[in-house]
Amino acid sequence: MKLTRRPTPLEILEGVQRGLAIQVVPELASDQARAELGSAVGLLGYLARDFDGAAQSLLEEIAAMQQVATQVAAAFRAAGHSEEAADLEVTDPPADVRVSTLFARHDELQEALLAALLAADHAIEDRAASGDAGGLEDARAGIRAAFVRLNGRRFG
Amino acid sequence: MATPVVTAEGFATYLEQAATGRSDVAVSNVRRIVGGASRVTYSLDARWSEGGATTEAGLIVRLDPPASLLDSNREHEYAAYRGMTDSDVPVPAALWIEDDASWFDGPFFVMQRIDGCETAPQRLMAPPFDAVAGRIGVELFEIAGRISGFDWAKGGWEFLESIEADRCWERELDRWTNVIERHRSDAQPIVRAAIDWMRRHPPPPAQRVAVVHGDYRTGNVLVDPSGAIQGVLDWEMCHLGDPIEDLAWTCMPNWRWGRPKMYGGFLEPTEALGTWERSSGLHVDPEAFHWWSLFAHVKAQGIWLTGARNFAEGEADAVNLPGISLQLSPIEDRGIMALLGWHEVAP
Repeated sequence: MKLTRRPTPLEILEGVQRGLAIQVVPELASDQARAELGSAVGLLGYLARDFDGAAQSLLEEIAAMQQVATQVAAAFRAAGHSEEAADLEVTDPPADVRVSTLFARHDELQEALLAALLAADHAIEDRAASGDAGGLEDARAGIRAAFVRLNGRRFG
Repeated sequence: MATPVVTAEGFATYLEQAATGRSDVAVSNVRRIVGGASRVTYSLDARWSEGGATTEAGLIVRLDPPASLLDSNREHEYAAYRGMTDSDVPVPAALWIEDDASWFDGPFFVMQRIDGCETAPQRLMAPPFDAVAGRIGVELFEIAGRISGFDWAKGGWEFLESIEADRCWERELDRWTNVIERHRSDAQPIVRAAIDWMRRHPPPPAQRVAVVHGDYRTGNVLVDPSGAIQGVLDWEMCHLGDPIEDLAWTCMPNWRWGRPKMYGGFLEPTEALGTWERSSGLHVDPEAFHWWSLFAHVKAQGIWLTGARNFAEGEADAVNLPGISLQLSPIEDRGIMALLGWHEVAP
């Protein structure tokens, strides 16, 4: 462990951002250099804001998607789609809480939910043509709602 | 590969040596233009003698970057400028194209600089331009209509791949699906769900196969203080296709610049679409407009993912690329979900 309690990683990032904005940007001669450094300062601010909460945020999103996946799996099983249901039943916890590990699990769940969404979309359209809704509407609505909520968190 | 750099001495040498008969060359006021996301762009003043006459010109030099938001084609863009010269679509004159990368660490082309105009959307939304906002909007959609109505078949556009009216949608969707699949670093479920939906619900065939600028919007037009558009820029994505593609791109929320109910940031939707219809002689089919509006978000997502991936892999060195992606990717997803009606199921 090389990080220190003070300054925290967050304080280091914020301090570097502040120092660049105050000490360096005004000294730059060209518009291009000021624009590039301005972007760099903005990125440091983004990292500073997200650093401390990144793992927690990913864990919350993984838990929420896992819950939706379990509900959707049950709906698929009830509608006779056992293969799609099996793909959604990934229950092992992430191997560790590194951000890279959590991102990988996050991605797996998004892939599984996307596959389920497309399967539901296709089944609903096919069955609508024959007048049979098939019972997957709630599952589809649940996945869509999960993606809407995930997207909403990107603006928080 | 280093980002290309143009100097006064270097450009003077190019002007003198790239063509015979030029002498007394002087180059000054070289400055890089901030904000070019797909090419490195310089502005400069040049003076030279040729055939007994002295020419003074403001020039723009557009160079290929190492990598950026787009993998675009320089010859293609240059040919589009040439193809629109002397039409009723205003463009700067394209002067020379240079494949030899040794001049400035990258191939480039040179075009006329149109002075006294503004392109930056934030400045176009502020004084003094806000006083002529209505005229800017009408010009924006009138010229969009002229591009859509342009008779490309009379010649000069052979560099564009031909396409049948009922396949325009498929080719563009394939193109941008490939871009997204090549550059995405994670699942991207929303844009991929949109692509799946779009393949199952194609738009009606194009009313005519037209030149599609590919990035026609507020920000890519040169506006003078009276509100008149003096030049349409950034033709690197132009192709033949469905003219509604261009219209939907121009109207999409990304390019409303803080005025969310105004298409292009300038006109109410009814006025914008009506202006385009009168200018182009075409009709805005609501089903086609919806499909191409969705496509606009898919394409924009492809662009942002390309920039992020190129930055992540060290192929692009523009520091703004990850910020653009972080900020705009969720906005494209939100736009897609709104157009697909998903927000109805949001809590």
